[in-house]
Amino acid sequence: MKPIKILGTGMTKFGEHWNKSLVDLAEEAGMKAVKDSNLKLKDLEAIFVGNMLSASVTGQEHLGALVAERLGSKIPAVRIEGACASGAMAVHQACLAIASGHYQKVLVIGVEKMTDLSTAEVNRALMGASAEAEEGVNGFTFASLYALMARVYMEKYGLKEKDLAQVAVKNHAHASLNPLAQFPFKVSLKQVLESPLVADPLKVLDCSGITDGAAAVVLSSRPWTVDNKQISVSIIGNSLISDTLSLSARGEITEQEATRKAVQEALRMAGIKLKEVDLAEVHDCFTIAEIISLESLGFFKKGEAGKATARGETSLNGRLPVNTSGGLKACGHPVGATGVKQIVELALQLRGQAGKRQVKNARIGLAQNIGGSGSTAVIHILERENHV
Amino acid sequence: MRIWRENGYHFFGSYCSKCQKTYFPKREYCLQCGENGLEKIKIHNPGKLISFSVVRNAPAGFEGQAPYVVGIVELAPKIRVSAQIINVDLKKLKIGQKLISVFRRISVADEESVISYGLKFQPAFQRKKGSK
Repeated sequence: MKPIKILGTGMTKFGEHWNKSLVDLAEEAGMKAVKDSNLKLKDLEAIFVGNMLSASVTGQEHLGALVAERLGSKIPAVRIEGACASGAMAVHQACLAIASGHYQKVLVIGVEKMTDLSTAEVNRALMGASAEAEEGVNGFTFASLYALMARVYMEKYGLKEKDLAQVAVKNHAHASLNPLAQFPFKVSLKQVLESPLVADPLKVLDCSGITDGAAAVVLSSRPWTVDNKQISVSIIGNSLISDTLSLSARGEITEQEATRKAVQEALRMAGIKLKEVDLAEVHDCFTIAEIISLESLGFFKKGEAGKATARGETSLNGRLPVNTSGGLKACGHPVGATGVKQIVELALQLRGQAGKRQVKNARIGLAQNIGGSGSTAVIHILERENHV
Repeated sequence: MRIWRENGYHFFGSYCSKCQKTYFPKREYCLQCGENGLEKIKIHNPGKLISFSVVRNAPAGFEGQAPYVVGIVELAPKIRVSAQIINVDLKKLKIGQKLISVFRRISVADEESVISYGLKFQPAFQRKKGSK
């Protein structure tokens, strides 16, 4: 594909924003991204908004026009929904719109407001991402769906609860270096293992939190602003694949088939090999999800990602840093914002602007965003352009 | 609404006699020949437990029931369903165990709402008294 430039990025602090509405959060991330791009609001030609739960939480739908109004704009504006993959799906659709030649400068905002509801209400609303008539209606939660995968995986590959816990320990350590993370502090292996069960064998500290937040990127077909100090980052491959909504309809629940297919397609588009990837943001809504994702992406053989995590291979100083932002686990998971936040994190890393969590000399980053229990997978591959 | 309820009370699939293809869950058109009017078939018990978990933080509408066991049950090759599993000792529940479906109340939203009924699973053979 013809590379699509990331001209600017912005995000809010992830956490509990009791004084901010959904549109306040979208405005903050959007304005920061536009400022970072050196463009003016009037330069934008379209807005794509990724969101899942606005109607369930606030009753508000029609987010395209809502966000455009707040940005003082009357340009084309659409809302994209694909459960927890809504953010990456919005980026993907914006890339297609630019690739079609219809737009040249587009703002993408992923946003979610979750803390207005009780935990029980949020857990029920999130089940809209599942096969409602089979899973939601019978009292399943997403923690329990991922727990079903964890149990089979543990039996098949001998993975232990402490191996799962290592993912949380690592991602919290990364989040402790990210001032915008919801949980910017370290946790010990003991703390994870002693946290209360949510859905056996998953515990509280195996799960991502309930989060408010927004993230945004300005995308373009070419560099509009000449700033020689700014390193240019582009999206060079992306792919979106769907799978069955219900987990029971999938034969193999210890791998993500949609991810496996999507990554192959994205690598082909980018014209690179997986081993060229320097760092990745993957969908760790639960600790088991990061392990299964890393294997489905092809970074590790099946049954190996847990051991590799324990050896530090996916830590900040490892051979493949994974979830330097803290991931969904510790940076937070405002569902519609997560996929855009992954792109923001990779762009900051590739530009060398990631502060204390900077990965040295990173050239290629990969983002994987999942909807439901693996029903949608979106992959983006980013590259830092080499300047003379 | 009626069709939805019927589906909640039995496990129905579809069969295309022309292509000799079975589908689960029930659908209207054959994916192979594109014809409408598939035969409705009932999927039978018992099933085999594929995986299970315990919901301890219940979603809205289920708070009074927690903790409860949920799982995936295989009724036939490639025919699996997700459901609650009842009348089990968690310590003895094992992947591969035989289960049968039973008709039960699923949830009650509030006093004025329609009570939701559906299928849950329980062990296929209850242990005899005095046996280990």
